[in-house]
Amino acid sequence: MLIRTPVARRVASGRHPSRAGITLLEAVLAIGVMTVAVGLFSSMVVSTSRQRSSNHEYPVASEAVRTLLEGMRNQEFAQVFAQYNDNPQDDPGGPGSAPGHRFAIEGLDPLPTSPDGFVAEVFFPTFVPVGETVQLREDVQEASLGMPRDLSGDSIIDAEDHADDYVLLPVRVEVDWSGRYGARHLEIYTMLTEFRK
Amino acid sequence: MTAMELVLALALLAIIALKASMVLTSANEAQQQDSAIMALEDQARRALDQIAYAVMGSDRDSLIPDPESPIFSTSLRYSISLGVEDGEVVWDDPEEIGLSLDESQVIWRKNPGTAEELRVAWCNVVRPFLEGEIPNGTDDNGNGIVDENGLSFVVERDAVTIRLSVQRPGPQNQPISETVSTMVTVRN
Amino acid sequence: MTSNSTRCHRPNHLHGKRAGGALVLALVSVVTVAGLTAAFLQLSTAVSRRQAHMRDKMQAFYMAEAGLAEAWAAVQIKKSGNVGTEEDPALYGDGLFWVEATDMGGRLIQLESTGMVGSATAVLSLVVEEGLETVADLGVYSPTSLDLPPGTFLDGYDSRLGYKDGGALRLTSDEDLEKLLEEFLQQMEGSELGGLSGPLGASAPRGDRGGGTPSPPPPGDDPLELPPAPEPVVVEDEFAGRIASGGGITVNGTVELPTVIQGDLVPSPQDTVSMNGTVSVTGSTDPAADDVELPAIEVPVLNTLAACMHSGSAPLLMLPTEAHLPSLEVAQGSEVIVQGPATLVIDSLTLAAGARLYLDTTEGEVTIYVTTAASFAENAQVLNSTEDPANLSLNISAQPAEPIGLPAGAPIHGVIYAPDAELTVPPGFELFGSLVAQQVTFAAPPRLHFDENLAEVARERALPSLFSWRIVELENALLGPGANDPFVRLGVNRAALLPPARVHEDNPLDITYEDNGGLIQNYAGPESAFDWSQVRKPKALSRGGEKVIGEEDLKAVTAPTIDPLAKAVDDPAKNSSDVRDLLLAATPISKDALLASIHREPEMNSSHLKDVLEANAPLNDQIMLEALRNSTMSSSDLKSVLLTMSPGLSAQVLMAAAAYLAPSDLLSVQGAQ
Repeated sequence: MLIRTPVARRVASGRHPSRAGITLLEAVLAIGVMTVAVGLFSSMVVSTSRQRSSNHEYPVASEAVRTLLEGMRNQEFAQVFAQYNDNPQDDPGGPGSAPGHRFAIEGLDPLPTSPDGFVAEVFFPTFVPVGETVQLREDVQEASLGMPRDLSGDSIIDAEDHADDYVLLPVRVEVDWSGRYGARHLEIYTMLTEFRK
Repeated sequence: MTAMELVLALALLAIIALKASMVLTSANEAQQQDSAIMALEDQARRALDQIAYAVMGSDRDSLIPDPESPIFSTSLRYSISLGVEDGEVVWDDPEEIGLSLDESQVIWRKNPGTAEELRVAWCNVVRPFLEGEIPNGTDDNGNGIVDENGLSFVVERDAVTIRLSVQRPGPQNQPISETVSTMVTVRN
Repeated sequence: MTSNSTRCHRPNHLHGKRAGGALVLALVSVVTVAGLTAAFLQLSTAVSRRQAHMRDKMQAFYMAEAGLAEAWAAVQIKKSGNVGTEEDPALYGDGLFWVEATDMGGRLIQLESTGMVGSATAVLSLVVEEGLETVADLGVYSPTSLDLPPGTFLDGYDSRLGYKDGGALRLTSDEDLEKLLEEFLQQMEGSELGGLSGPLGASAPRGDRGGGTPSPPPPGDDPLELPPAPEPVVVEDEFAGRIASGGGITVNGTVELPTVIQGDLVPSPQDTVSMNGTVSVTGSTDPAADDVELPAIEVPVLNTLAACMHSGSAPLLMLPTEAHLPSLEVAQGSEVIVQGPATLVIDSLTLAAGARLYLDTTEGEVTIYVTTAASFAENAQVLNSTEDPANLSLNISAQPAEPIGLPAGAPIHGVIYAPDAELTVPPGFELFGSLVAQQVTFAAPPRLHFDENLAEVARERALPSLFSWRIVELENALLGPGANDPFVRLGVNRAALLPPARVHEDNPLDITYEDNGGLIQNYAGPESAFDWSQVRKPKALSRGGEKVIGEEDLKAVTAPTIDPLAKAVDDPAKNSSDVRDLLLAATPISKDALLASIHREPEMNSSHLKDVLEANAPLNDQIMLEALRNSTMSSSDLKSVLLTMSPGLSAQVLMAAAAYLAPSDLLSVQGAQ
């Protein structure tokens, strides 16, 4: 009398036609899954690498701007404009002796479009009349710096050069650099005045 | 056939798995290294930021010591203003930021040297000397200061330049370092 | 028969294991990778977020500082200091700020500025101390009429540059001297008696030095008739004195005692200047635009010490202190030295004949309040070691029935303020600084030198000063709507916000101004309704009833005058010998240049410094004390300088020399006194 074997035994006998090639298929699927996983991991590596660059570059830029602004505060207030504008002829210690308006920052590369290889620039509300040197002007139209406005404390907005008699100095510092993953930009606004102690 | 298939599949899988694991391992190592550097820099910058804002609010006349370049100090004692009451400035208890005894930590202290002293470690992986500097009596890193420690303060007029170098072992046990610096102006 | 089941027998439990094994492995790999990814991303994102927050905090900090600067500038011109509000902040750059001003009383104003950029908010607090109104810039002033006797001399100078000329005329070049001599000779020719009115008696038109000579007055019938006094002349000068009055000013001069006023005479708006006799005036005689209100003296409350009566040859030294003395009496020929910084409230101050009150202001100012009585012998001396009038102020709040005679034993360098007292100026009185009293009677012609630096000091002291600064809050917004946008967080429309200059709190404005057409106009009303674009130049300006410091004043304060020679001394490119040669070539040099040479870094060679000091002798006590305290000079070189100025060294200098000279050198110096 023939005893019928259980289903498992029938499967284990290897005679079920769907069993053929399953291991290879599994392997292919597994390879595919791992490939996708590795691909995802790679893209994560790239994106965290970008983040790490930003995490390094932006603080470097911020710290440099802070050092610059604090350096301005440490100067004689009346000389800040002359020290940090783009006219070397009015530098208090002699032509070319002042820091000027453009700076390099260690660790940040300039943009290809940078004219002088520097990354940071100081902006005041200035105007350069034809044939003259840069002037600190109250009538400049620059909304980001709150201009036009009185800078000399006489409540009047005029077209004079207030490089020698300003009591308030709006300033913007911009940093543009070529980051590891493209151009980057940072700007900080403040106003300077002389806090007499 | 089945055995062949199995062997083939296993071999393929093994090869792919091996390659994948090699990629993952090296990427992982690189990531760990990057992450360690990132974390270290973050730690240094946070400590520097805390120091900077503390010094900004201090009184210029209360800064002790008063090191003018090329002299530096590894600690700075100061007092910050709490405001004005009855026409007088109310100064907080003296505070001090400096290195621990073993020079590996940045310690903030309130009422230093008294029974009410309060201490907090702001950073605990400080290098013994600033990065690039060795104790040889010369300015090796070209910053105008000689043999400065991992934490240094230099005062010029109302400005205080703060420099901090931190270091810790990396994932592969090689040391990784970060140096941060800033300058702030005392406002009071 | 063999069963097929035996050919590929495998235990049942093993058959299931093989199925899906690779997928399991793959899944494990994926989970591992996902875990690693999550960990790295979490760390990196956390760091990124923290760095972004730190960056935003810094930007918000500087935005709040911009608010403080805006409010500070407003307080300087007597605005309230309120700039915008939380509901209507000022738009600046990529963020916003507003400032809330609170009057804390006692001349203190708290400015709290909130700046917002990105995810951060910074709140900074600045306490401002409003400026003090001083009278030092009034020159010589009395609310009552002034009568200047013949021989009165007034000029101006700048104490930072030193008073070089003791004569009646400041000659700035040999050319000036030649022109003046020419005028003098011309006047001699035109006058029968010959001109004792001097070069300033020549009728040069205003501003035209040495130019134009009027025809001499025709002689009268009587050959002994004196020619009419020459017209007063106006000659330009570098510094100007100032005499002002709340009434009229009468200026008298004679041929023998001409009165020379190198400066302005300013009567009250309703009065005029009368000139009789030989009087020469440079500057204006126009009346003041407004009456002057003298502020009351606020006498501080200080700890009381015992009354002090000093007699004897040895000087009494009072160390730097703030104290109240019921009385201070300096007997005949005695000396009291008060070291600054010091504030003394003295109920009764008496300086007997020959008594000396020496105020050492080297280390700080000395301020004296006399509340009940003041008595100064005519030849008593009040001396200021630095000869800087800004360092000494004598405030007499007493209201005695009798006039107070001022000491005239030595020139006084200081500010004398007696708003309720009558002061009598005795013969020989000389003042460098400022004198303001309820009434001033000149018993004899004074020599008055107005220090223009006092005007700048007064302007600076009238401006607010920083009292306290602190960080109130510096934090980042939590996650949520507007976490990274301050405009959303505040619920304001960015496009509707105005720049800082246009969101100041409205003030009542009172202004007299020259408009663009050159006409003088007046306006009184809310400043928001006033069109500043029509103003060419403000003449008088007040906000909320408080006079505003003008543009010229601020400009003068922000551009202080420093002797260029003093700056050249500090040039590190020059060696000691170069500096010595430079200073010797420019001798006599200013006090600033002398002090710069003493304190030069790197130090000057001792003998070089000795050469410079000797060439500029006599030196005032401040310079000598600084030279003695400076470690550069050797004892023998110091001795040489001191001997150059001997005899006549002050007790203070001799006392200091004892500490710094070798015994043998000290003996030499003492022997020369």
